[in-house]
Amino acid sequence: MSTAPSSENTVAQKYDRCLADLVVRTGIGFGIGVMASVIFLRRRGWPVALSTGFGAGMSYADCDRSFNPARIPGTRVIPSPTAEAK
Amino acid sequence: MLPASRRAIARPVFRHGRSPGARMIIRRRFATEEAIETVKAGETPPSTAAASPRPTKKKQRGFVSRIALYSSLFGVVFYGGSTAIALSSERYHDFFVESVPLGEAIMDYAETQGWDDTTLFGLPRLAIDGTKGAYRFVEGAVSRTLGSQGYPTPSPASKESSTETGRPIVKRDTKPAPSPVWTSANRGAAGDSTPVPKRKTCSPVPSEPRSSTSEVKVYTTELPLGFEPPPGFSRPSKPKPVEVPLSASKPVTPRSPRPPPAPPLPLVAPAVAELSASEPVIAHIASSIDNLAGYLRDSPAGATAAAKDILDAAQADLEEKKKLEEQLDAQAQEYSKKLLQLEVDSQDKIDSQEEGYKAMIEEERQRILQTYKARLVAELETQSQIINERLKEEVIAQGIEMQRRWIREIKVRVEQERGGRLAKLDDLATGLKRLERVALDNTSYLDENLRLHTLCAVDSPIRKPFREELRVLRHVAAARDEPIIIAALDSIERTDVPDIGVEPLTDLVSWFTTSVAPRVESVALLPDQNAGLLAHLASSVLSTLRFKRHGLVEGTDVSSVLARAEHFLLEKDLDSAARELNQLRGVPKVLLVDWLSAARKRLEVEQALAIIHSQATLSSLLVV
Repeated sequence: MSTAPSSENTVAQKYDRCLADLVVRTGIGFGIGVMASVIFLRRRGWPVALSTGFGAGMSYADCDRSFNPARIPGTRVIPSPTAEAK
Repeated sequence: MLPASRRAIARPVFRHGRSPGARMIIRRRFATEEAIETVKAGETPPSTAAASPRPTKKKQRGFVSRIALYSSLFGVVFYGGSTAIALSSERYHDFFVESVPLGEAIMDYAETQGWDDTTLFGLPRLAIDGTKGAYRFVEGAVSRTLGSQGYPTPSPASKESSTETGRPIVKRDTKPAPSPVWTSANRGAAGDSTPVPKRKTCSPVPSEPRSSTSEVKVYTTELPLGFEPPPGFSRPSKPKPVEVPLSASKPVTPRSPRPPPAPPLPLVAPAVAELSASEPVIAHIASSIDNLAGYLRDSPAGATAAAKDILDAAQADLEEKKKLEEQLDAQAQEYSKKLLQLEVDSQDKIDSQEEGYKAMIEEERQRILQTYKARLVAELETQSQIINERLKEEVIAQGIEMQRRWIREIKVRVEQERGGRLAKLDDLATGLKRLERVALDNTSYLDENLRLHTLCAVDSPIRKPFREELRVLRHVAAARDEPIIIAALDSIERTDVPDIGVEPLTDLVSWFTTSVAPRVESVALLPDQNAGLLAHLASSVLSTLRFKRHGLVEGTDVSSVLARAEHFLLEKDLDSAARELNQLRGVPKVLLVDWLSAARKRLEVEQALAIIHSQATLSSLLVV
C-alpha cells in the first residue's frame, strides 16, 4: 500500500484481497468448528464443515461487494432508459 | 699683608736712606704694616733684622748671617717667583696656596692688589716708571732743598743709594701695585688718592724726630674711638684736623705749633680747581706749587716773602693765562664760524655748478637722442619699404603657384570621389543582401535550435523535468513579443507538467502493450453495471479463450477498440490511440484512467510546442 497502484491493477488487487480474506475466514471457521465439535458435540464432523462454510461464505460476500459496491441485498438498481438507449 | 721677606729687603733701604723722601717712603710703608715698629724704626733699627748686626759682629756671626742672608734671598726669590708663577698657572696656584706657608696670604694680597690682571710683559714698563718716578722725586727733593736751604744738601752717595734702592724695590714688587717711591712721588706731585690722609696723620714731624721721641714714644697709629695709647706712648701732639679743601693741599698743613703762623700763602690749587678737569697740566703745576709752598712754610720764614711774591706772580700769570685762553677760545670760535660760513658758501657754489653741468649734459643727451631717433626712423622706413615690396612679389608668385596646384588637386579629387561613391553603392547593396541572408539564416537556426531544445526535453527516452528549457524558450518568445507563443507557454506552465515531465512515447507504448491491454482484455466481457465476483471470474476466464484481434478492425466492443489503439500506437499516433481508448466505458475505462491521463499530458505539451514551432516558422517567414 506504499505506492498508489496503477489503475489497470485495481481488479487484480481485488482478487488478491478476496483470496486472502477467504483463506483467513475459512481458517477461522474451520477452527471454530473443530473446537465446537470437540467440546460440545462429541467429535462430530458436521460442525467443522458448517463453520468453515460460514467463513468461506462471509469472505465471498465481502469479495462480491468489493467488486460491485452497488449491490446491496434486497435492492436492485434499474438502469435508466437514457443509458439503455445508449 | 706683605711677606716678611719684603720687610727684610725694605730695611736696608731705610738704613741708608738719608733723604727725607726716602725716609718718608719707608715710614709710610711701615705705618700701614706695623704701626708701632715704624716709629721705633725711625731712630733704632730693629734687632731682628738680619742685616743690621752684620757689620758689628762679622766674625762671630759670619756663618749665621750668611745663612740668614742666603735663606732670606732664597725666600725672596722663591716667594716672588712663586707668586708670579701662581698668578699664571692654576695648578701651581693651588699648590702654593695649600702647601706653602704664607702662600695663601700672599695670593690674597696679590688678588686684592689686582696683580693677576697684569702680565709679565708689563713688568719692564712698571720698572721703568718706578725708576723714573724715583728719579723725579730725587730731583724735586734736591731742588727743594737747594731752594729752601734749610736742609743739608744730600750727599751724592745717599742720592745714589736712594735711586739704587728704589730700583730693587720696584723689581721686587713686580706688580702694578704702586711702588713706594712712585706712590710718594705721585703724592707729592698730583696729590691724589685715599691713603694719604691716614698716613699724613700718623707721620711724625720730619724736622725733629730724634729730640721728641727720646723721652716719650709717640703712638701715631689711629686708635679706635675711646681708646688710649698703651703705657709709654703718647698721642701725637694734636694732629691737626686737616682742612681738606682739596686733596692736593694736604701736605701743606703745618705740624709744629711753635713758630708763629706765618701769613698764609695763597693756595693756587683752589684757584685753578675748575681748570683741573680740562687742563690736568695746570692742576699738576698748581699742586706742585702748593707743595712747594708747604715746604716753604715749614722752612725758615726767610723764604716765605720771596715765595709769596713768586706765588703771587704765578697766580697773576695764571690769571693772565686764563684770560689769554679765553681770548684764544673766542678767536677760535670766531674763526671756526668763518670757516663754516666759507665752507657752506663753497658748497653752495659747487652745488649750483653741478646743477648747471647736469642740465647741460641732459640737454646734450636729449639732442643726440633725438637726432639718432630721427635717423633710425628714416632708416627703418626705407628698410621696411624694400622688404614689403619683396614680400608682395613673393606672395603673388606663391599665390599663382598655389592656385594652379589647387585646381589640379581638385580635379583629381573629384575623379576619385566619383569612382569611390559608385563603388561604395555597389558594396552597400551586396552587403545588405548578405546581411539579409545572414539574418534569415540566423532566425531559422535559432528557431530550429529552440525547437530542438524543447523537443529534446520532450522526446528524451526517460521522463525528466523541462522547466529550464521552457524558461529559456519563454525568454526568447518574450523577446520576440508574440502573444500566441506566450499563451501556449502559459498553458503549459500553469500545470505541474514541466516539473515532473512527460512520459516518453516509447514508455507509453510499452506500458500499454505489456500491462494495460491484457488487463483490459480480461475485463472485456463484463457488463457495464453490477458486475460481481462471478462475472469478473467468468470474464477473465473466457477472455483468455477468445481470439485476439489485430490491426485496424471495425467494431465498438472492447477488444476491437483495444486492437485499433494498439495499431495507432504502433504507428506512433498517440492522439488517435487515446481517442479510441477514451471511448470505452465501465470497468475497462476505470482501468485505463492512469494511462490516458499520462497520454493526455504528453499530447498537451506536444500541441503547445507545435503551436510555438508553427508560430516561429511563421515569424521567420514574416521576416522575409
